[in-house]
Amino acid sequence: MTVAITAGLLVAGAVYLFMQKEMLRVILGFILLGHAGNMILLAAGGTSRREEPFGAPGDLSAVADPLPQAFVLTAIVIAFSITIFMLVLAVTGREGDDATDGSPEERTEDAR
Amino acid sequence: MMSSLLPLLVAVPLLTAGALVVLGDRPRAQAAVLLGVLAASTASGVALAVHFRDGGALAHGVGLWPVGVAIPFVADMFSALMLIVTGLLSLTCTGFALASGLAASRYYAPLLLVLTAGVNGALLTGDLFNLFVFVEVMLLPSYGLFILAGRGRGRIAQVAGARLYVTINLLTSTIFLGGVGFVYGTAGTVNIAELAGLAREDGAVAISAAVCLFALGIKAAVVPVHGWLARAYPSTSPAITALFSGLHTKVAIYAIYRIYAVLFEGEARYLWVGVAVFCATMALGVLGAVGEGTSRSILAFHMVSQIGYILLGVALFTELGLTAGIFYLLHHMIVKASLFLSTGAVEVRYGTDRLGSFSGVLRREPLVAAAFFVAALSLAGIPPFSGFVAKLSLIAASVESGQVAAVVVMILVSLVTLLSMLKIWSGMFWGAPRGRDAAVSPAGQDDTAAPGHDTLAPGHDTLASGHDDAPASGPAPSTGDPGSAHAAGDADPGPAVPRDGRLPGARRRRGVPGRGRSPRGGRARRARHPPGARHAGPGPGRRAAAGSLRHGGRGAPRPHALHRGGDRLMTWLSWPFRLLGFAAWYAGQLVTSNASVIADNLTPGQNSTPGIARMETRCRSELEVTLLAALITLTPGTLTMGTEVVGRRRTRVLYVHGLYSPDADRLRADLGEMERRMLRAVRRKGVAS
Repeated sequence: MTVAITAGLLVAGAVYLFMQKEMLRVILGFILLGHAGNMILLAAGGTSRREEPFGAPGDLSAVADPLPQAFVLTAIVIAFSITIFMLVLAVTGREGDDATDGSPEERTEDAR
Repeated sequence: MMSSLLPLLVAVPLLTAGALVVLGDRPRAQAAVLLGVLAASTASGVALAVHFRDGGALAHGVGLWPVGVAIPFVADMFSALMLIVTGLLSLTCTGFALASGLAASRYYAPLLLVLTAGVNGALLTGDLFNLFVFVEVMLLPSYGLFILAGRGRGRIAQVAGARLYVTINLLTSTIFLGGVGFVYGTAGTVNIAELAGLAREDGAVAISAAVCLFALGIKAAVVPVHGWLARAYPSTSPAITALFSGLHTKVAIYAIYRIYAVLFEGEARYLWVGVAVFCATMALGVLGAVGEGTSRSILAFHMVSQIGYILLGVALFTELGLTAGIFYLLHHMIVKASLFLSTGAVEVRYGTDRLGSFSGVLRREPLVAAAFFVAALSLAGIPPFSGFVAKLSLIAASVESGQVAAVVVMILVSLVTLLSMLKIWSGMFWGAPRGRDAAVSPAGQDDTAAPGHDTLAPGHDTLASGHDDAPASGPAPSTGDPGSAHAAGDADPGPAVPRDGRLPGARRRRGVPGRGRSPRGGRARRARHPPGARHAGPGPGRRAAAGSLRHGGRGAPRPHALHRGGDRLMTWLSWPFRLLGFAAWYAGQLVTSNASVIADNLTPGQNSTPGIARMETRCRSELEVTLLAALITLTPGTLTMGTEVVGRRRTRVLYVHGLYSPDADRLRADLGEMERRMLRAVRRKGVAS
């Protein structure tokens, strides 16, 4: 249940940040959303019915499922790289141009 | 054995991409390797398709790990066909990118190879989580390609489009990831084969899989989550729009087909949702295009509409419906890319894709116009083309399933599609040649597609930035400027522009040594790589074009790769057609000359006026002069008697015996006509001088 509530809170925070205008806040929202996704993946492993994988457990089905953890690792790497790229996109261009909403034809300034 | 080769389709492009990054800035080597790998990928698709011609499938777990641990690769006929078409598309778009100068960037080849690896992986994976990973592998280089531009030619619109594109895709991927998590939580596996039918039996799995389908639906731009596509796609470069139109949404569609067919086993309970949503997609997509004013945004909205058609196949889920849908998918990938590339070629040449800012492309570049026309008719579903077959079989499948409403929607949407295509046609291709290089069009008309237009390259840069760069379009230097004189040297009189302007910049640079770096030249130079090179409106530009052309002679740092590339592309594209056209013309000559000789022989008396003409040819090589001599001899009534090379310029001279020409001048004129046509056909550049 803890995981579900955490994921819910993270998604709520993410949605709030998506509603903001600036690119940076949207990116922060994506960081939260990425964490929520990772929580969901972890929860998919059945956190409530399994134990920590410490020591020498007799019953393998009772320790934490490694597969979702591998999923999460992969997802973290991917989300991290895209976040960096989005930060670059956010600072490219002129100041404040990420908060306006013009059609592509109106935005023909130089990208450098 | 063959199955263990499947991972190579991902591994080879990935490793090659890494190697190319190490290789560094060597455009030719990069292009060669890139084309080689893409061709190999396409060829393996063909090999797989041959292998599967009697059905069947291949599966392989990487490293022979047990199922559930290994990365599974699965191939069947559907994935083989998709491999072929995506490979062909990547090849074609790379050709376009090479010609338009985009591929000159050292990052193009590595990015495209990673993209290929991602696409191949997504098509071959047998695992939902790996599907997510491969889609990400496909998307990450796409973000780079999206904002890729020639140095100094990037536009803020591209960045703005990329922001939208990246955020929507990250959101979608996260939703998909959540869906995969739900599937794992409810079904205990993410292997697609092990999941077979589970969504049908278990409601919880069905909802989890529906989350995945929803995410894929966003990626495929299904109404009501289609808005991003029409906003994002038109803002990148034409080659990339075409590439993405063929790869990204289509991989999502492929995944939707897979997931619904395997996880749901075509469960009939949910099909009505699909029919309703996809019909709405068709209708809203095509209506969205009505309000658009640029060719690419119109085409992007049509893509949405067509996606509705493609997915309708899966929503019918009959054998005929699926076949029709898959055929539609393959047809659409090719036709859509063709539309984007043909209008993209025009855009590269004219600097904008806004309808109405120029017209008459049909007259100037009939081949591009023909390519667009055929693809547009095919898109609308007019009989002789593939779109007709696709739509007809889809309509037949809908009738078979009793979805009459869907049939009505499809037919109406087809009509609106045709109207939209006509809008592009009339706004770009039809009409009298008009546009910012209208002044040059007389010169452009008597030559083939290549010449004439390039001359706008310098002018049009300047006018792109003309809004704030008065000096750039300021008064031209004296007409005696050696640069312009040189440039116009072999041109038609009139517009002082090089007629075969392929190398306007280079020539002028040679022509104006030492005049290059005046302060004003410097400013002009800055002005030339402007932001809006592609969004320039007409207007003051036309006036400025001639002046700024000469002005551009100073300080123009380099010829415009984009435009030169456009011509190269055009000449390569039109070459086979020119050859065919000449063959047809020559066949006509053969018939008429034969007829006149026969008529003369069969009727009493002789009408011939035999004589020998000495003719200086414009042939530049032995091959050309031999060919010309052979062609002259082949037509009855004329006979090549001898040839010699005279003068310092090594002019090749022919002595021709003619039967029916009143005098030598007339004979020379006739032969000159044949020579001009022949040279335009056999020379790639299509110039007869």
